[in-house]
Amino acid sequence: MTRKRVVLVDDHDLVRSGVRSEIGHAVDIVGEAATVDEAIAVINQSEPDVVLLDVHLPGGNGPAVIAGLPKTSARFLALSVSDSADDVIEVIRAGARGYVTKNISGEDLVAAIERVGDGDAVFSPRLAGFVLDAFSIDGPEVADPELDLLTAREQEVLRLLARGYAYKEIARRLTISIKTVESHASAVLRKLQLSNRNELSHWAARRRII
Amino acid sequence: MVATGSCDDDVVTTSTPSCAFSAGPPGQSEPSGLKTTTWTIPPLDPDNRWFGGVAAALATEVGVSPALVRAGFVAVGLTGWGLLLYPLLWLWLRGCPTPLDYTPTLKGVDTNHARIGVMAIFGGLFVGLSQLPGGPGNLGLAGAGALVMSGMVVLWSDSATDWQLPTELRRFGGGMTLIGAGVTLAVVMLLDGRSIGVAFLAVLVILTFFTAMLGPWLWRAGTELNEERLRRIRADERAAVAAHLHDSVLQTLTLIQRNATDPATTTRLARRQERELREWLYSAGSSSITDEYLRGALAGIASEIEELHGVPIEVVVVGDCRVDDAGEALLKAAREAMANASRHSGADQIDVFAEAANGRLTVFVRDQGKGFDPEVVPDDRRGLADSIHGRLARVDGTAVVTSHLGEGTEVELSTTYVDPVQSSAGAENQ
Repeated sequence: MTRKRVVLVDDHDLVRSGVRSEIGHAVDIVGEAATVDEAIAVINQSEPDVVLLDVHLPGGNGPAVIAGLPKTSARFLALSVSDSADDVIEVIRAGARGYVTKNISGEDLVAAIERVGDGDAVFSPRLAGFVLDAFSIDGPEVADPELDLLTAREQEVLRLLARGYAYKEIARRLTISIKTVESHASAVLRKLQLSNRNELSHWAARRRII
Repeated sequence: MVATGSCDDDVVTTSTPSCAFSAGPPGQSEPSGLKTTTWTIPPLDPDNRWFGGVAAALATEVGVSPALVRAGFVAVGLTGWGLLLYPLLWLWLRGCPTPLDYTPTLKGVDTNHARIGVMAIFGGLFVGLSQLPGGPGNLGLAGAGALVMSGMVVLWSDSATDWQLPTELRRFGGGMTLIGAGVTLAVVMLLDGRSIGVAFLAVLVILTFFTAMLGPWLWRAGTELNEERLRRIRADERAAVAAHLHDSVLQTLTLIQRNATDPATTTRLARRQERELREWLYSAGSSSITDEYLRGALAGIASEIEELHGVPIEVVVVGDCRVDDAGEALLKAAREAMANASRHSGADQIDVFAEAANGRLTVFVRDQGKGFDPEVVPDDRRGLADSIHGRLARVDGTAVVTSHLGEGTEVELSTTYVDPVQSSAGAENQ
């Protein structure tokens, strides 16, 4: 497998140098940026495979970077310490292919970068939880139309992801191929991006109580 | 603001106070092709005027001789109306910059509109009053109206833009003087041997004046007060954040520096602080983060076990519900499962997933440690049998333990719940 070309976007030098030293042996880091504008310039110039994108940035947030690069072929992986579902869902809706927390191990991060670089989705358990919540599975709102957006199989996959299962383990458990698990995960991301704001605003209202 | 451009109908740019009444939103530049929807006013021409330059300006716009317009004004003036009309037009046109001498007294179309509206209302009032017994052409009343209107314009002009106190005081003084003179004149005229009804009308008019006059001031004062309040709230908030950070994060950082040589302690301190800070940051203002509810209770348990055993526990919760008796039994079992995983599995992380949906509460506790064979758990290890299976059995719940040697363990606990946290904004009151 060819080494992925990666751009790091984070406003903290310490985080960037930490990430660099953890993944530098496995990927090529072709650029770094600390602000939205810098990120857009660097990504335009270096055309990386994957952008590791902090959710919070000066001069706008992660979604602003993605919005500023409508034509890029780079894929975005959100890397954040944020526990705020709003932040995470926003960046995914903007087009990020996955979300991992900053306490992820270097090894797992490299795997996630490669997966995103190959066009697949990366779910941390937390992201899976946020998405399940976003698609409202609680009792009183069963009639909610957005519930129909996720198939039973997709919900099953999401629940296993939330329980901490890797794609490989999910495939074995559901006796389907890893490719199928990946396509379920990608479908969930796509649905999250396509579902309209109204549906998510009701979700956002709910998130505030949690 | 720089005095570029003019009020000619060919160029009206955003940098020029626009005297154009256009169909578009105010402040937008108008292309010259839109002449049909744009009514532009010619500038007052200081070089070619008899009195205020109004007639000359109108003549230029309409394309007739200024003498003709002046004759018209005189004719209208004989009825008493012209005396109102002329200053009215003059005040309006004054807002337009001349190419030669331009002072930006009135900025923007909105102020213009407000000004004209106010003038029209009071102009109408006074014209109406002048038609009362006492006869048309009551020049005294018309004059009073003109005075008051001028005062109003002075007071209202620029009230939508930023202001400085000295300028404002001058404006206020000037406006008040004019209005006072006008009102006095009107009252004197009206009360000159007339009925109570007319006097009442006069009082009404005066009250209306003062309301309109004080309007912009009150409005501005209110805005200022509001801003001040917001500033204070922000300052308070900042102080609260600072206090919290000091009590928590700074203290922990100090402890970490002191224990720098002890990685286990350092990690534990950092982890605990992280958890606390997260809870504080992301659940601010939420009342459901208490032990009464699934989310709060589970987070508390995980944090406690983590502190005890030093193995990070990742908690993901979907939905929420009030913890009833069954829920409490389930949480105790979950606690035991987490403690077991921390003590025996050897895994470097434990995943906890809880879901409250459709009346069913399910919690998974999973590690990817060494696993065990459930059949050969020694009898003296009572944890599984009593704490987990027993607890759930007593509340009609289920507990399933799945474990394979070398592949880790997962405990699935499930029971019913009655009282969901409403999945809507309405639950914020709970």
